[in-house]
Amino acid sequence: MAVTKNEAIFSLYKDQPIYRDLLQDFVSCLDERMIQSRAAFEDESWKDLSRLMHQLRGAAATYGYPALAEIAGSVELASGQPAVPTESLAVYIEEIVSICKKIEAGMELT
Amino acid sequence: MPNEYNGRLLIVDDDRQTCAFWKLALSEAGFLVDLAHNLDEMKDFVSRYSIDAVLLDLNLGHENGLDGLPYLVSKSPLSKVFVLTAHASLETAIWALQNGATGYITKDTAPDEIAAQIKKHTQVPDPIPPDMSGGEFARVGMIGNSKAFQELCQRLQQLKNVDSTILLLGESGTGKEVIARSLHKISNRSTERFEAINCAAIPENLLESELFGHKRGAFTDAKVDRKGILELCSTGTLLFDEIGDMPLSLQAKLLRVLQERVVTPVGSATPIKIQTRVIAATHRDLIEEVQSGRFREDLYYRLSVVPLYIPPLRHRKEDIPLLVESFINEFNQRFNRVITMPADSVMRRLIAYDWPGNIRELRNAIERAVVLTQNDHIRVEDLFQHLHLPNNTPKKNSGLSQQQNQANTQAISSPAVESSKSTPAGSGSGLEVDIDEKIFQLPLTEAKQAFEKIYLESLLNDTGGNISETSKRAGRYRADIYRLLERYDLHVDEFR
Repeated sequence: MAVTKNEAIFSLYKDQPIYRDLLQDFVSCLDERMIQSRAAFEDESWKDLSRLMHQLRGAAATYGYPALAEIAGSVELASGQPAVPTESLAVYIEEIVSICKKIEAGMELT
Repeated sequence: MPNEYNGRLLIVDDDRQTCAFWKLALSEAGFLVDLAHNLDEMKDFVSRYSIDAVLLDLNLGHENGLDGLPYLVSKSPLSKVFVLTAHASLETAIWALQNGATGYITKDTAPDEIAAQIKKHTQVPDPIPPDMSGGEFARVGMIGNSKAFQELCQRLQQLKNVDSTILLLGESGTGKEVIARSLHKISNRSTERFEAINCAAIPENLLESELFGHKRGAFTDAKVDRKGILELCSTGTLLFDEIGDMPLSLQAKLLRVLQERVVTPVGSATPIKIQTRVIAATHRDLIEEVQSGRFREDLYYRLSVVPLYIPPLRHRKEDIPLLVESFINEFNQRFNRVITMPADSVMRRLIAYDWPGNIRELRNAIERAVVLTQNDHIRVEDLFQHLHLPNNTPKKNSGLSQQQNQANTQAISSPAVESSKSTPAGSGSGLEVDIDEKIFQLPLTEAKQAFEKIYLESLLNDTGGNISETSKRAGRYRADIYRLLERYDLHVDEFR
């Protein structure tokens, strides 16, 4: 589904030219991060999923994407539970994918 | 990198993109930034460089970043450690602050705020007023009151504003870096940067780039221009620690820098003028290194314009109580303990011991004792734990059990001779001595001491406590044997 201009998500640092190349690198690697995260989810490798989400959470916060950081934090927390709520995780992960697409759209518009 | 230089940072984070962002952001704020992605890499950096601040990620993938905090506090006590994490947990923050961290930063903090916070804690302190007394030397980290210490302070006063190269000579652990820092703090360069570089810990190819800087594309990993430490520290002081271990090829380049006062970054043809004050330090005998061809003679003469000998701790034993007090205060604060000064009998033991590892060994012993003691006071066995290995070789004719011996003498028990690891006792002797596994877990200095004690006891056992025979077999003078007996609190009567 195409992302509209209004839905696009921008980094808090989008107006600072020195970060432009790094932001592009970060956004272009989001797909790879999601592929790894989905694989960990499919394999029920909860430790790996928790670790990947922790990294995404920190990186998203660093790169100025608080919405992505917040939901990655929720997945990190859920995948670390003794009884992992897989259905909720599936919903969260799809939501992260959706946010990533909005971030990619924002990058294209910057 | 901007002209402003605010110090050297190490970022420890397992996410490479996060590292890249912080490196750029904080380099822009005038910091020289290095990256480590796990605790081993962090330890490697700490051993090589003098680092002003460390940003330590709480969660390093398979490692807990907080596990690295005690190491940083112990091995790099002057570094300010900021715990960096994606989320703020009050409990973790309190733990980190109680265990030596300076601050706690969440990853959503804006880079300029982080830079400001780090600068606030790492900025060069106000200059120390001139005409310092001994007490004021304590303010810059030098502790002592002995004649040897006072003479050293006098020399530092004479040298503080002299730009000549100074060569600090002294055994390992005598505090050469502390003295170099103190000299900088009392000098007219005190508001400028002090940097230290360990020539023994940095690979040759990295050392050149580290010292002189490099241009983008000068080698595979040179993705951006980077200033060398000599240029960054141009108006400050640079300590070349373990200069005796500098590779010969770099010695020639350093000589040129010292002679001409210019550096040429790797991959550049343009020399840059510098005014860096150079202090060099080594525990090696540089004359011997020159004679053996491992150290350039011309560099030796260039470095040793003003040689300064740092006395070993055994030559300034009067300072031991002051040092002990200072270390106890430091570790009480760090470990939240309320350990009191040692009893007179314990202090006498501390003074009697020769401390071959010097102040570093004393500091480690006090740290260990503060951590281990179950009471509010330090016992001898807490201090000399490395000499307290279990004993399987009772002394001949002592007439006392090992426990009684310990109780009576408050001494170091006889280190181990257990059947766990066999080591040939001398090449070609055909004999084998069993050495306790524990000895191999000790740092080298402590292992040497433990072995020395085992060796001496073994000889005394064999010779029935005959000092002449013991000295003959050990190839040492009788006076040496008596000194060792005193050091390890061995009583010759117990072997007769």
